[in-house]
Amino acid sequence: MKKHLKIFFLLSKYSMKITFQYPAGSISFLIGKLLRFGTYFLFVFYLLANTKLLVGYSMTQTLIFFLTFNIIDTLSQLLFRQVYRFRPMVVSGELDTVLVKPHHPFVRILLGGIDFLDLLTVVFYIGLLFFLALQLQALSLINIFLYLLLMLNGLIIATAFHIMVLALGILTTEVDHTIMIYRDLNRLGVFPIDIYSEPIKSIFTFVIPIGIMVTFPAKSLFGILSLNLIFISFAISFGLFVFSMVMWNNALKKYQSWGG
Amino acid sequence: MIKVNNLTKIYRTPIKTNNFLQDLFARKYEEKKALNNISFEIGEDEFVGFVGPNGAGKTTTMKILSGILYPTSGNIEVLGFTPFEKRKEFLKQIGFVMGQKNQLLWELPAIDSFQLAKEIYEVNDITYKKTLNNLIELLDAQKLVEQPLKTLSLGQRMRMELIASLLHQPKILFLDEPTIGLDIFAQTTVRNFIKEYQRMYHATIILTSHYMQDVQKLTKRVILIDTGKIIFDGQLGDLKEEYSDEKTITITLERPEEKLPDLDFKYDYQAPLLKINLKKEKLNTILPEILKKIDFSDLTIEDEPIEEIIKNIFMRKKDSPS
Amino acid sequence: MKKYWLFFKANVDFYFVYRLSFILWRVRNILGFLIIYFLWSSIYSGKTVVFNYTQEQMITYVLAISFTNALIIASRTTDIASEIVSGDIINYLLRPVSFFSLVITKELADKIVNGIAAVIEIVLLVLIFQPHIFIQQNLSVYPFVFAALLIGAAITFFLSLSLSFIAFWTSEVWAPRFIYFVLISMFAGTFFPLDILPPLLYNFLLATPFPYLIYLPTKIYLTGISGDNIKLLGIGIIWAVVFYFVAKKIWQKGLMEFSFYGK
Repeated sequence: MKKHLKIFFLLSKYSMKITFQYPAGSISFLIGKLLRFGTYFLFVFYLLANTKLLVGYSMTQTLIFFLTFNIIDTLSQLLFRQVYRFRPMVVSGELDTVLVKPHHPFVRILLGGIDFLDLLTVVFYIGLLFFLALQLQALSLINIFLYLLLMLNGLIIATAFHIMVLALGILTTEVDHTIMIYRDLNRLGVFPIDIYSEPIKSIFTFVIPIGIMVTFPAKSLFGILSLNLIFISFAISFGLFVFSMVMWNNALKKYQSWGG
Repeated sequence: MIKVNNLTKIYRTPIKTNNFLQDLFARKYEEKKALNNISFEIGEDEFVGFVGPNGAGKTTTMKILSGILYPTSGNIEVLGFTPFEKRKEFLKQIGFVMGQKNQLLWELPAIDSFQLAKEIYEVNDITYKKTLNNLIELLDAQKLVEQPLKTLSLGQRMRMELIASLLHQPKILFLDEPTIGLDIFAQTTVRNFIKEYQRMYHATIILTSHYMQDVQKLTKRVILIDTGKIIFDGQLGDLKEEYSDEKTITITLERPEEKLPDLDFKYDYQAPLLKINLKKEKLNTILPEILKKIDFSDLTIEDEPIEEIIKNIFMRKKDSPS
Repeated sequence: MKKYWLFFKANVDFYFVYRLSFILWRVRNILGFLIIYFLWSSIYSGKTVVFNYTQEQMITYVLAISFTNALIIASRTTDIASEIVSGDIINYLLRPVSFFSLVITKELADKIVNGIAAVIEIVLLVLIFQPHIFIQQNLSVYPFVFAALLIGAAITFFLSLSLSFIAFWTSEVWAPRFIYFVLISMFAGTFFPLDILPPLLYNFLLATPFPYLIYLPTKIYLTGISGDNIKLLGIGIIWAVVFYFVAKKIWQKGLMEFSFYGK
């Protein structure tokens, strides 16, 4: 464990070093990200200022949904940036050189490319969230606790999704952009999942648990998530995580090491 | 150290049909036997060369021995471990250098990758410094380690790859085409280094290479693999003994302007060189004839080159119905 | 001419060979549609008019975006950047063909395949969700919609081409491309019709090239021919011409700069 942490910190240091090698590109990315966030934020603000409610949620609540989505989305990009570079590693055979190293491959292919630009943006989002949460009436400690717990739960779901993307990167030769498909699925949660009609809503809550990942935390903060659903959330994230690990181990057995 | 029993590896590649739905849900596979029931053992401090044509199964064998690939069937024991389980104690004792693959961080100087390898293999500071300095010296790479990897040439990069794979002094070293794509100078550097390294550190080394020079100069034992089967396993000398009965006599004529006398054997003449390929047992009869009939300034008798011997073995294999 | 036809065919075949990738690409577009469709549907629950748009108009707008996205925003010119960085572009330059004709042929193949796929998707989506949609009855509007689509495609083509040509100078081509996508997703009208914005902001955006990509063709389809729309078409044409010259200039300068540092 200690060794893995050391490797993780060293890789993160290198990742930061590489970011600084391209200052112009890095700053442009940062500006682009903030611009995108800012305009979306203002759009939601403007929309709700006119319509007052979105499926029963107030402007503040809708913005908290939006921020919760962004925080989980950005945190998983920050942590799992290396997943975006995984396909080329498989195709070139570089994955071979990772598999013969005496560490868990995830320290390299999942967590090996911490994105420091996202660290800057996520701090900003958390600050905004804090400000908005203070506007809520009936903010209770227990709800805040549940919110954090479900955020963590959401991150576990995000981790499972990323592991599945890695496994698919080994299993299929035909699809290069599985990670982008995940991103597009994930985007469905940018607004509360309640905007979708059935059966889409249930599918994206329980089968592909985007709703549990990004909508449920905010709901628990507002105190409108039943205890049953909270337990179901934990069960589903646990199940999904186990499933992703089984899929990964299975992928390793099927791995054929093409790049040679 | 390495025990392989009845190892078989089957690759499955999807076949595209014209039926899209079938491709998606009931996919058909083509099966290819990369390794067909092979067995061998390799002991401590051995230097073994895997030789065979492309797709014979050399690299597949190495990848199974190192735990990258999952064997379809068979028993494999390396250093007392089952490789695919990827136990840390096992992986810490092996090293793998792949000629066409890059394990180092592309954007950064090699020294950063070495530091990473130090942490990965938990090498202590003193050993790390000592080994690193030693390897750098052997490879004459003092300046290269500080330069961003992407600015190095292929040959320079291979030297960095070697260092990174050896910092933890592996007991078993896999070298998959370590000289591929290198110019002859870089090839020699790498070859000499490997020889010197083996002498100093006594690792068990398994090598594949397309250049017979590598195999000939480095290994004593060769394992010939063709279409997933071992067709020869033994000393390089024995290989010559067993498979090569041809000799080549090359004669430089003293007076090439004169007409050649009538000779009772087949030859190839391009003045002033006369070349004769013959079976070993014919030497006794042909040499006296040469001595009697020809004036020469030079005469050499050579074994068939190893490339030729091996080529012939594989050709013969192909011809004979199996 | 025949070689361009063959090149066109090869590019269309490409989508059939990599059909799984292509289908998933279309699925990604449908996911994007679902977000906007349901966002607006829930905003209209219990209301008839929001921001001067009826639900029928807004849903039509959202459906039309799927089509204009496939036809205007998606562009194969993005690939050119990596072809320059890797040096592969030399394969085009050394052959007796016109580079630009090849690029335009590829672009056409892409737009035809994606356009057909988008129409099929829209029909399916309308059948599934059965929304009320607005059908423009006035046939004389259609030539104008077509003209607006053409202008939009020309602007993205030359703009995206210029961005790819940055690769002649640096391999860091992704940052400008990323900003370009961000600007399009915000200001081209891919989320909502731009005229729901406050007039000041709306007028400011009209001075940028982005509204002419998606917003204008759809707006003309919905509101017909008006003096305002004709004026916007004119501005669109100006932008297309401007970016044509920008792309041409960068191309000429870039070729001189080209050093094949890739390989």
